[in-house]
Amino acid sequence: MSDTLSPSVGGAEAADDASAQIDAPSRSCAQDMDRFLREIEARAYRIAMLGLRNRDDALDAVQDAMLRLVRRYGRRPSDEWRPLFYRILQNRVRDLQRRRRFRTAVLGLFTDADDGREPIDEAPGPAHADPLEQTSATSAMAALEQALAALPARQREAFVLRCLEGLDVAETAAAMRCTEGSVKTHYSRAVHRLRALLGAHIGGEG
Amino acid sequence: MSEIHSDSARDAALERFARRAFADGVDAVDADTCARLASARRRAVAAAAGRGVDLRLPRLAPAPAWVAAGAAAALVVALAAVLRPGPDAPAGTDARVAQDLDVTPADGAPLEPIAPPDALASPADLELLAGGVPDVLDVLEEDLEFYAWLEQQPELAMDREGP
Repeated sequence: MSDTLSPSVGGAEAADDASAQIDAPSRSCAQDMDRFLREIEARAYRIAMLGLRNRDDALDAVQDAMLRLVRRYGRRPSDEWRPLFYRILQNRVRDLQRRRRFRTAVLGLFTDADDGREPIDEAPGPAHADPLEQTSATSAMAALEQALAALPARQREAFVLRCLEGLDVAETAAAMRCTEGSVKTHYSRAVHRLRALLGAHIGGEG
Repeated sequence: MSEIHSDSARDAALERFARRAFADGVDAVDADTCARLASARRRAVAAAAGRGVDLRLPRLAPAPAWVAAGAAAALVVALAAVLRPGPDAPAGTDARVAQDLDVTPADGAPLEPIAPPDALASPADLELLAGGVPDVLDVLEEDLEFYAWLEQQPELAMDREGP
Protein backbone atom coordinates (compact mmCIF):
# COMPACT_ATOMS: atom_id res chain seq x y z
CA MET A 1 0.00 0.00 0.00
CA SER A 2 1.22 3.44 -0.82
CA ASP A 3 2.19 5.80 1.90
CA THR A 4 -0.86 8.01 1.82
CA LEU A 5 0.22 10.10 4.75
CA SER A 6 3.49 11.29 3.44
CA PRO A 7 5.74 13.36 5.68
CA SER A 8 4.73 16.96 5.77
CA VAL A 9 6.08 19.49 3.37
CA GLY A 10 8.69 21.65 5.03
CA GLY A 11 9.09 19.58 8.16
CA ALA A 12 6.67 18.69 10.89
CA GLU A 13 8.06 20.98 13.54
CA ALA A 14 8.03 24.16 11.49
CA ALA A 15 4.51 23.71 10.23
CA ASP A 16 2.84 22.02 13.15
CA ASP A 17 0.44 24.88 13.73
CA ALA A 18 -1.05 24.88 10.27
CA SER A 19 -3.49 27.64 11.05
CA ALA A 20 -0.56 30.05 11.30
CA GLN A 21 -0.11 29.83 7.52
CA ILE A 22 -3.66 30.72 6.63
CA ASP A 23 -5.16 33.90 5.24
CA ALA A 24 -7.14 36.11 7.60
CA PRO A 25 -10.77 35.46 6.51
CA SER A 26 -10.51 31.73 7.11
CA ARG A 27 -8.10 31.93 9.95
CA SER A 28 -10.55 31.58 12.81
CA CYS A 29 -12.32 28.64 11.28
CA ALA A 30 -9.02 26.99 10.43
CA GLN A 31 -7.75 27.50 13.96
CA ASP A 32 -10.87 25.89 15.36
CA MET A 33 -10.56 23.01 12.95
CA ASP A 34 -6.87 22.60 13.73
CA ARG A 35 -7.61 22.52 17.46
CA PHE A 36 -10.42 20.04 16.99
CA LEU A 37 -8.45 17.68 14.79
CA ARG A 38 -5.36 17.92 16.99
CA GLU A 39 -7.47 16.94 19.99
CA ILE A 40 -8.95 13.85 18.38
CA GLU A 41 -6.36 12.60 15.91
CA ALA A 42 -4.60 10.05 18.12
CA ARG A 43 -7.89 8.82 19.57
CA ALA A 44 -9.37 8.56 16.08
CA TYR A 45 -6.38 6.54 14.96
CA ARG A 46 -6.79 4.15 17.87
CA ILE A 47 -10.49 3.80 17.14
CA ALA A 48 -9.78 3.09 13.49
CA MET A 49 -7.21 0.51 14.61
CA LEU A 50 -9.84 -1.23 16.70
CA GLY A 51 -11.94 -1.78 13.60
CA LEU A 52 -9.21 -2.40 11.05
CA ARG A 53 -6.24 -3.80 13.00
CA ASN A 54 -3.89 -2.52 10.35
CA ARG A 55 -1.81 0.59 10.74
CA ASP A 56 -1.81 1.81 7.14
CA ASP A 57 -5.53 1.25 6.74
CA ALA A 58 -6.20 3.07 10.00
CA LEU A 59 -4.07 6.03 8.93
CA ASP A 60 -5.85 6.10 5.57
CA ALA A 61 -9.22 6.11 7.29
CA VAL A 62 -8.32 8.96 9.64
CA GLN A 63 -6.83 11.09 6.87
CA ASP A 64 -9.87 10.47 4.71
CA ALA A 65 -12.21 11.39 7.55
CA MET A 66 -10.29 14.63 8.24
CA LEU A 67 -10.39 15.74 4.62
CA ARG A 68 -14.03 14.84 4.17
CA LEU A 69 -15.00 16.65 7.35
CA VAL A 70 -13.27 19.80 6.15
CA ARG A 71 -14.56 19.58 2.62
CA ARG A 72 -18.18 18.82 3.46
CA TYR A 73 -18.83 20.13 6.93
CA GLY A 74 -16.13 22.70 7.65
CA ARG A 75 -18.72 25.49 7.70
CA ARG A 76 -21.06 23.71 10.07
CA PRO A 77 -21.04 24.76 13.75
CA SER A 78 -18.02 23.33 15.49
CA ASP A 79 -20.11 21.50 18.07
CA GLU A 80 -21.41 19.29 15.25
CA TRP A 81 -17.94 18.28 14.08
CA ARG A 82 -17.35 15.45 16.48
CA PRO A 83 -20.36 13.24 15.61
CA LEU A 84 -19.90 14.12 11.93
CA PHE A 85 -16.24 13.20 12.05
CA TYR A 86 -16.96 9.88 13.69
CA ARG A 87 -19.75 9.14 11.26
CA ILE A 88 -17.32 9.67 8.39
CA LEU A 89 -14.64 7.64 10.13
CA GLN A 90 -16.98 4.74 10.87
CA ASN A 91 -18.20 4.76 7.27
CA ARG A 92 -14.63 4.65 6.03
CA VAL A 93 -13.72 1.86 8.43
CA ARG A 94 -16.76 -0.12 7.32
CA ASP A 95 -15.91 0.49 3.69
CA LEU A 96 -12.37 -0.78 4.18
CA GLN A 97 -13.63 -3.80 6.11
CA ARG A 98 -16.02 -4.67 3.26
CA ARG A 99 -13.36 -4.26 0.62
CA ARG A 100 -11.09 -6.50 2.64
CA ARG A 101 -13.88 -9.05 3.03
CA PHE A 102 -14.61 -8.96 -0.70
CA ARG A 103 -10.98 -9.44 -1.58
CA THR A 104 -10.61 -12.29 0.86
CA ALA A 105 -13.68 -13.97 -0.61
CA VAL A 106 -12.52 -13.49 -4.17
CA LEU A 107 -8.97 -14.61 -3.49
CA GLY A 108 -10.40 -17.64 -1.71
CA LEU A 109 -12.03 -18.71 -4.96
CA PHE A 110 -8.70 -18.81 -6.72
CA THR A 111 -6.56 -20.19 -3.92
CA ASP A 112 -5.76 -23.85 -3.59
CA ALA A 113 -7.62 -25.00 -0.49
CA ASP A 114 -4.83 -27.47 0.31
CA ASP A 115 -1.93 -25.06 0.19
CA GLY A 116 -1.41 -25.55 3.89
CA ARG A 117 -2.04 -21.94 4.92
CA GLU A 118 -4.68 -21.11 7.44
CA PRO A 119 -6.84 -17.99 7.04
CA ILE A 120 -5.64 -16.80 10.44
CA ASP A 121 -2.11 -16.65 9.01
CA GLU A 122 -3.30 -14.09 6.46
CA ALA A 123 -5.01 -11.86 8.99
CA PRO A 124 -3.27 -8.68 10.03
CA GLY A 125 -1.62 -8.71 13.41
CA PRO A 126 -3.35 -7.46 16.49
CA ALA A 127 -1.56 -4.16 16.43
CA HIS A 128 1.13 -2.07 14.84
CA ALA A 129 4.37 -3.97 14.73
CA ASP A 130 6.59 -1.25 16.14
CA PRO A 131 8.45 -2.90 19.03
CA LEU A 132 8.54 0.26 21.11
CA GLU A 133 4.79 0.69 20.85
CA GLN A 134 4.20 -2.96 21.55
CA THR A 135 6.35 -2.79 24.61
CA SER A 136 4.72 0.31 25.99
CA ALA A 137 1.17 -0.67 25.18
CA THR A 138 -0.36 -2.29 28.18
CA SER A 139 -1.72 -5.78 28.23
CA ALA A 140 -5.01 -4.13 29.16
CA MET A 141 -5.18 -2.39 25.79
CA ALA A 142 -4.30 -5.62 24.02
CA ALA A 143 -7.04 -7.43 25.89
CA LEU A 144 -9.52 -4.67 25.10
CA GLU A 145 -8.59 -4.76 21.40
CA GLN A 146 -9.01 -8.50 21.31
CA ALA A 147 -12.36 -8.40 23.08
CA LEU A 148 -13.69 -5.61 20.86
CA ALA A 149 -12.59 -7.52 17.78
CA ALA A 150 -14.85 -10.36 18.88
CA LEU A 151 -17.94 -8.13 18.83
CA PRO A 152 -20.22 -7.58 15.85
CA ALA A 153 -19.37 -4.29 14.16
CA ARG A 154 -22.42 -2.34 15.35
CA GLN A 155 -21.87 -3.34 18.97
CA ARG A 156 -18.21 -2.39 18.72
CA GLU A 157 -19.08 0.99 17.20
CA ALA A 158 -21.66 1.74 19.88
CA PHE A 159 -19.27 0.85 22.68
CA VAL A 160 -16.34 2.75 21.22
CA LEU A 161 -18.30 5.91 20.55
CA ARG A 162 -20.28 5.91 23.79
CA CYS A 163 -17.75 4.66 26.28
CA LEU A 164 -14.33 5.42 24.83
CA GLU A 165 -15.07 8.60 22.89
CA GLY A 166 -17.69 9.87 25.29
CA LEU A 167 -20.41 10.72 22.78
CA ASP A 168 -23.90 10.87 24.23
CA VAL A 169 -26.68 8.66 22.92
CA ALA A 170 -27.97 11.22 20.42
CA GLU A 171 -24.48 11.94 19.05
CA THR A 172 -23.74 8.23 18.81
CA ALA A 173 -27.00 7.67 16.96
CA ALA A 174 -26.07 10.45 14.55
CA ALA A 175 -22.62 8.97 14.03
CA MET A 176 -23.97 5.46 13.51
CA ARG A 177 -26.97 6.61 11.46
CA CYS A 178 -29.42 4.68 13.56
CA THR A 179 -32.01 5.39 16.22
CA GLU A 180 -31.18 6.15 19.82
CA GLY A 181 -32.97 2.95 20.77
CA SER A 182 -30.64 0.94 18.53
CA VAL A 183 -27.64 2.60 20.15
CA LYS A 184 -28.87 1.59 23.59
CA THR A 185 -29.50 -1.97 22.44
CA HIS A 186 -26.11 -2.35 20.77
CA TYR A 187 -24.36 -0.76 23.72
CA SER A 188 -26.09 -2.97 26.25
CA ARG A 189 -25.22 -6.10 24.28
CA ALA A 190 -21.64 -4.94 23.90
CA VAL A 191 -21.26 -4.33 27.64
CA HIS A 192 -22.77 -7.69 28.45
CA ARG A 193 -20.42 -9.47 26.08
CA LEU A 194 -17.35 -7.51 27.10
CA ARG A 195 -17.99 -8.21 30.74
CA ALA A 196 -17.84 -11.90 29.93
CA LEU A 197 -14.75 -11.54 27.75
CA LEU A 198 -12.81 -9.25 30.06
CA GLY A 199 -13.94 -10.57 33.39
CA ALA A 200 -10.46 -11.50 34.55
CA HIS A 201 -9.12 -8.05 33.68
CA ILE A 202 -11.82 -6.02 35.36
CA GLY A 203 -11.92 -8.07 38.52
CA GLY A 204 -9.73 -5.58 40.30
CA GLU A 205 -11.62 -2.52 39.10
CA GLY A 206 -13.85 -0.46 41.30
CA MET B 1 -32.44 -4.97 43.81
CA SER B 2 -28.93 -5.78 44.97
CA GLU B 3 -28.49 -7.80 41.78
CA ILE B 4 -29.28 -4.70 39.73
CA HIS B 5 -26.78 -2.70 41.76
CA SER B 6 -24.22 -5.42 41.31
CA ASP B 7 -24.80 -5.49 37.55
CA SER B 8 -24.55 -1.76 37.36
CA ALA B 9 -21.34 -1.79 39.42
CA ARG B 10 -19.84 -4.37 37.09
CA ASP B 11 -20.83 -2.28 34.06
CA ALA B 12 -19.18 0.74 35.64
CA ALA B 13 -16.04 -1.26 36.36
CA LEU B 14 -15.91 -2.44 32.76
CA GLU B 15 -16.29 1.12 31.50
CA ARG B 16 -13.52 2.37 33.80
CA PHE B 17 -11.23 -0.43 32.68
CA ALA B 18 -11.94 0.22 29.00
CA ARG B 19 -11.39 3.98 29.28
CA ARG B 20 -8.13 3.54 31.13
CA ALA B 21 -6.85 0.91 28.70
CA PHE B 22 -7.84 3.06 25.74
CA ALA B 23 -6.13 6.13 27.21
CA ASP B 24 -2.97 4.08 27.70
CA GLY B 25 -3.24 2.91 24.11
CA VAL B 26 -3.59 6.50 22.86
CA ASP B 27 -0.56 7.56 24.90
CA ALA B 28 1.42 4.69 23.40
CA VAL B 29 0.95 5.77 19.78
CA ASP B 30 4.47 5.95 18.33
CA ALA B 31 6.16 9.11 17.13
CA ASP B 32 6.10 8.18 13.45
CA THR B 33 2.35 7.62 13.54
CA CYS B 34 1.87 10.89 15.41
CA ALA B 35 3.88 12.69 12.71
CA ARG B 36 1.74 11.20 9.99
CA LEU B 37 -1.45 12.13 11.78
CA ALA B 38 -0.17 15.69 12.19
CA SER B 39 0.63 15.79 8.49
CA ALA B 40 -2.88 14.68 7.62
CA ARG B 41 -4.29 17.34 9.94
CA ARG B 42 -2.19 20.08 8.35
CA ARG B 43 -3.44 19.12 4.91
CA ALA B 44 -7.02 19.16 6.11
CA VAL B 45 -6.66 22.52 7.84
CA ALA B 46 -4.95 24.02 4.82
CA ALA B 47 -7.85 22.75 2.75
CA ALA B 48 -10.24 24.46 5.13
CA ALA B 49 -8.58 27.74 4.30
CA GLY B 50 -8.89 27.09 0.58
CA ARG B 51 -5.19 27.02 -0.12
CA GLY B 52 -5.54 24.82 -3.17
CA VAL B 53 -4.34 21.72 -1.46
CA ASP B 54 -4.74 18.59 -3.54
CA LEU B 55 -7.81 17.00 -2.01
CA ARG B 56 -7.78 13.87 -4.06
CA LEU B 57 -8.09 11.11 -1.56
CA PRO B 58 -6.05 7.97 -1.78
CA ARG B 59 -8.00 5.00 -2.93
CA LEU B 60 -7.40 1.33 -2.79
CA ALA B 61 -6.70 0.09 -6.28
CA PRO B 62 -9.96 -1.13 -7.78
CA ALA B 63 -10.22 -4.85 -8.26
CA PRO B 64 -9.18 -5.92 -11.76
CA ALA B 65 -12.08 -6.56 -14.13
CA TRP B 66 -11.34 -10.29 -14.32
CA VAL B 67 -11.54 -10.56 -10.55
CA ALA B 68 -14.91 -8.82 -10.48
CA ALA B 69 -16.22 -10.95 -13.32
CA GLY B 70 -14.98 -14.14 -11.68
CA ALA B 71 -16.48 -13.20 -8.35
CA ALA B 72 -19.83 -12.33 -9.86
CA ALA B 73 -19.91 -15.57 -11.86
CA ALA B 74 -19.00 -17.61 -8.80
CA LEU B 75 -21.67 -15.82 -6.79
CA VAL B 76 -24.31 -16.60 -9.42
CA VAL B 77 -23.29 -20.29 -9.53
CA ALA B 78 -23.27 -20.53 -5.74
CA LEU B 79 -26.68 -18.87 -5.45
CA ALA B 80 -28.11 -21.13 -8.14
CA ALA B 81 -26.77 -24.19 -6.34
CA VAL B 82 -28.21 -23.08 -3.03
CA LEU B 83 -31.56 -21.83 -4.22
CA ARG B 84 -32.47 -24.47 -6.83
CA PRO B 85 -34.67 -27.17 -5.29
CA GLY B 86 -33.11 -30.60 -5.49
CA PRO B 87 -34.79 -33.62 -7.06
CA ASP B 88 -35.92 -34.82 -3.65
CA ALA B 89 -37.46 -31.55 -2.66
CA PRO B 90 -41.04 -32.17 -1.63
CA ALA B 91 -43.73 -30.33 -3.51
CA GLY B 92 -46.00 -28.05 -1.59
CA THR B 93 -43.70 -27.62 1.38
CA ASP B 94 -45.75 -24.74 2.71
CA ALA B 95 -48.86 -26.87 2.74
CA ARG B 96 -47.11 -29.73 4.54
CA VAL B 97 -45.72 -27.42 7.14
CA ALA B 98 -49.17 -25.95 7.59
CA GLN B 99 -50.63 -29.43 8.06
CA ASP B 100 -47.98 -30.27 10.63
CA LEU B 101 -48.85 -27.12 12.47
CA ASP B 102 -52.55 -27.85 12.11
CA VAL B 103 -53.31 -24.57 10.43
CA THR B 104 -54.78 -25.95 7.17
CA PRO B 105 -57.88 -23.99 6.23
CA ALA B 106 -61.04 -25.84 7.12
CA ASP B 107 -62.43 -25.45 3.62
CA GLY B 108 -59.43 -27.22 2.13
CA ALA B 109 -58.57 -24.28 -0.08
CA PRO B 110 -54.98 -24.27 -1.38
CA LEU B 111 -52.60 -22.31 0.76
CA GLU B 112 -50.98 -19.18 -0.44
CA PRO B 113 -47.21 -19.20 -0.16
CA ILE B 114 -46.24 -18.11 3.33
CA ALA B 115 -44.04 -15.31 2.09
CA PRO B 116 -42.25 -14.30 -1.08
CA PRO B 117 -38.56 -15.20 -1.17
CA ASP B 118 -37.40 -11.61 -0.79
CA ALA B 119 -39.26 -11.29 2.47
CA LEU B 120 -36.24 -12.89 4.14
CA ALA B 121 -34.72 -9.45 4.28
CA SER B 122 -37.29 -8.20 6.77
CA PRO B 123 -36.17 -7.63 10.36
CA ALA B 124 -38.75 -10.11 11.65
CA ASP B 125 -37.36 -12.88 9.48
CA LEU B 126 -33.83 -11.99 10.47
CA GLU B 127 -34.83 -12.44 14.07
CA LEU B 128 -36.29 -15.84 13.23
CA LEU B 129 -33.12 -16.84 11.40
CA ALA B 130 -31.02 -15.68 14.30
CA GLY B 131 -33.01 -17.81 16.68
CA GLY B 132 -33.19 -15.00 19.17
CA VAL B 133 -29.43 -14.86 19.63
CA PRO B 134 -28.49 -11.15 19.52
CA ASP B 135 -25.01 -11.57 18.10
CA VAL B 136 -26.25 -13.79 15.29
CA LEU B 137 -28.82 -11.14 14.43
CA ASP B 138 -26.11 -8.50 14.26
CA VAL B 139 -23.97 -10.69 12.03
CA LEU B 140 -26.91 -11.33 9.69
CA GLU B 141 -27.52 -7.60 9.48
CA GLU B 142 -23.85 -7.07 8.68
CA ASP B 143 -24.10 -9.67 5.91
CA LEU B 144 -27.10 -7.92 4.38
CA GLU B 145 -25.34 -4.57 4.60
CA PHE B 146 -22.27 -6.11 2.96
CA TYR B 147 -24.23 -7.46 -0.01
CA ALA B 148 -26.12 -4.19 -0.37
CA TRP B 149 -22.78 -2.37 -0.36
CA LEU B 150 -21.31 -4.83 -2.87
CA GLU B 151 -24.20 -4.17 -5.24
CA GLN B 152 -23.47 -0.46 -5.15
CA GLN B 153 -19.78 -0.70 -6.03
CA PRO B 154 -19.40 0.45 -9.63
CA GLU B 155 -15.92 -0.97 -9.99
CA LEU B 156 -17.21 -4.44 -9.15
CA ALA B 157 -20.13 -4.35 -11.58
CA MET B 158 -20.30 -6.92 -14.39
CA ASP B 159 -21.30 -4.46 -17.09
CA ARG B 160 -18.30 -2.28 -16.54
CA GLU B 161 -16.71 -1.00 -19.71
CA GLY B 162 -13.33 -2.44 -20.50
CA PRO B 163 -10.14 -0.40 -20.53
